[in-house]
Amino acid sequence: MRVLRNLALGAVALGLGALFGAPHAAQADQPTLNLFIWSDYIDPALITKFEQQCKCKVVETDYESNAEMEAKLRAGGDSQYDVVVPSSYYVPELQDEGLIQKLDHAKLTNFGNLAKRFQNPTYDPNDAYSIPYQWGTTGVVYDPSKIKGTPTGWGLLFDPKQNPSYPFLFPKGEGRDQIGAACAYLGYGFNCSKESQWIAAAKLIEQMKKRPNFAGFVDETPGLGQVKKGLAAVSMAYNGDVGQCVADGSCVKLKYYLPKEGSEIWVDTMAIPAHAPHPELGLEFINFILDASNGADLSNYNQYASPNAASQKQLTGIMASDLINPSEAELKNLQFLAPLRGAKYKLFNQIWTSVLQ
Amino acid sequence: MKRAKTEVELEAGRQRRRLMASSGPGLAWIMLFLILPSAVLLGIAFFSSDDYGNPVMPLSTQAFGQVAGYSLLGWDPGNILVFLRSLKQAGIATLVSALLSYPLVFFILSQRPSLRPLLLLFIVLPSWTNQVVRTYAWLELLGPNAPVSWLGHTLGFLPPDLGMAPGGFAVTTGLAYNYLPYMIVPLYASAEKLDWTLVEAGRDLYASGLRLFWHTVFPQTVPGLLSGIIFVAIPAFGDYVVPQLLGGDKAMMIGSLIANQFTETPDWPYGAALTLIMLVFTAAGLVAFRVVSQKVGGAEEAAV
Repeated sequence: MRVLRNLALGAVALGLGALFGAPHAAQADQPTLNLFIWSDYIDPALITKFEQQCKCKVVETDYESNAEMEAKLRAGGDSQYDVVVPSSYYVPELQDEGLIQKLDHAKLTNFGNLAKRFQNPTYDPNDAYSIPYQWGTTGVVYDPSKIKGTPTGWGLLFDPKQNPSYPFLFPKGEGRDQIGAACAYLGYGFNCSKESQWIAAAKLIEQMKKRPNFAGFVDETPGLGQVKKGLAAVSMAYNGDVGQCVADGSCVKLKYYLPKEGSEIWVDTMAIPAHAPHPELGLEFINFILDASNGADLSNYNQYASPNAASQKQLTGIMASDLINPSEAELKNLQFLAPLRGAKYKLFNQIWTSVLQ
Repeated sequence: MKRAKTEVELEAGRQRRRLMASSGPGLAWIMLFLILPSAVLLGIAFFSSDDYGNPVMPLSTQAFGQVAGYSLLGWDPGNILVFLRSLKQAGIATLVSALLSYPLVFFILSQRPSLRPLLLLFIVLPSWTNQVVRTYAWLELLGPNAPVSWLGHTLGFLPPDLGMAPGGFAVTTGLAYNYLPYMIVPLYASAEKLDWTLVEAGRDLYASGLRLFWHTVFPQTVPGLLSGIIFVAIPAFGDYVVPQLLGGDKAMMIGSLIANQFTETPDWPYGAALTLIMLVFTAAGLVAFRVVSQKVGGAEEAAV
């Protein structure tokens, strides 16, 4: 396969090289860090600061989903980018596929700033391939003017009685959060892993799909946008997105909660692609983010929680609230998504595809 | 004599070189950026997929079994439903845009000749904005708080609290809106050349209204209509943005199904096989269409 792939890439590279060869050569003397990251996930001021520190240029490219990032790495991006920001449950997969490389911890002098809770995680023992960037929770956001009572569980999505008439959304994505939520509602726990449980969860989602007020498969971030505009009354959402719009005053009326049956805690991490053109700059960038005040600037900018223990004192405003920092009791109810490997992953994908069809 | 012959040969050679020089870059561009990547993609359809959906050896036809509906969970009609749904949506969108195009085209033709290019420009103008942006605008226009939905609530065909979007109606609207210019432009081109003496002859024979249109105007616009149908039906069949935004992907279409196999639920050989099958159907449709349109065109010429 690699032969075919390289053939195609070679052809494209040939064409592009012929077109853009000259300017490329002129830039070669200034080192460039190619950052591949979720859209709107880093403060432009931090990028400028890093450019001054490393005397290099930063080229930022954005993606909207882990799957999109993985597809680009597979199609040759593993030799194009220096830093990528995959979610925790994607790290083992990228590692299995040989798309990311081991990190040289000798260069990561600020590693000790990380909170103990985020060191040596199950998805990446000894932090060999990834370093936490930011973390957050997945919950439910709703418009209290349209929903009666105070919902506490996943039933607001799955139980027609709790929302008989207002439009609601459900994420499309890779299916992990979705099957997890349905499993939690059915009492199997958010991290259900048996085939029979997945199929029961899929059936529940298929029933949900048939309700007249189901307004479609829309991911968490655009879903919150639709609830803000009044196009829908309920959606799954990330706490940091809610934090952003509470901070800018555009969703003060909305409510966000973590369902009592269990939900997701996630970490986005920094990793270096297997054939990164400038791995040493990548390490320098990771170490830069691990710095206490840079970590705080980052969280104060995008309103997601920081795994950096040394940054906590410098966090301001909504960053100190329990929306961003769940209580100990809430944390007990939250789980990391277990990575799926091998034939199980394939089976899961086929179940999720049949739900969408 | 010998000299003259070489002149001719030289001229032929010169022409060939000129042709190469003028069409060469375009051909190279198409080869490099269209044919070659497509060939690679289609080749992928014949590989097996590993646990993460990457194409690997050995060669296999397993992906085509998946297209037919076989998976680890047994047979499932999902793919057939997706295919028929896409076909239906494309058909409705084409019909709606054709019905909207005829009055518009003849309205433009009824204006002063100096005004016509400007009016045509107005039709094409919206497509200078990104399709995604315009589709988002429709999402708001058809949302629960929009006047259109309010009308639906008042007349009772839409449950209160819900909007016209997302849903089947919104998808049809979005597709017809998006591809309308592709119907209008070819239709305008053939209507512009319309032989009005035939219409007068029809009038002399006391035909009027629909009958007059059907026997004198419509046959003359068929070539434009046929191109329009191709320009609208094919992209509408594979459209990805409109069903996702205005349909909320509640009813999956083939474009989304293929896109998912390269991203969210990766299985590249399966996605490539779906693409191949879609291409085959589109090509077969085009050929069938050409045969039919030649027959129609031929019959007309015979009649004239």
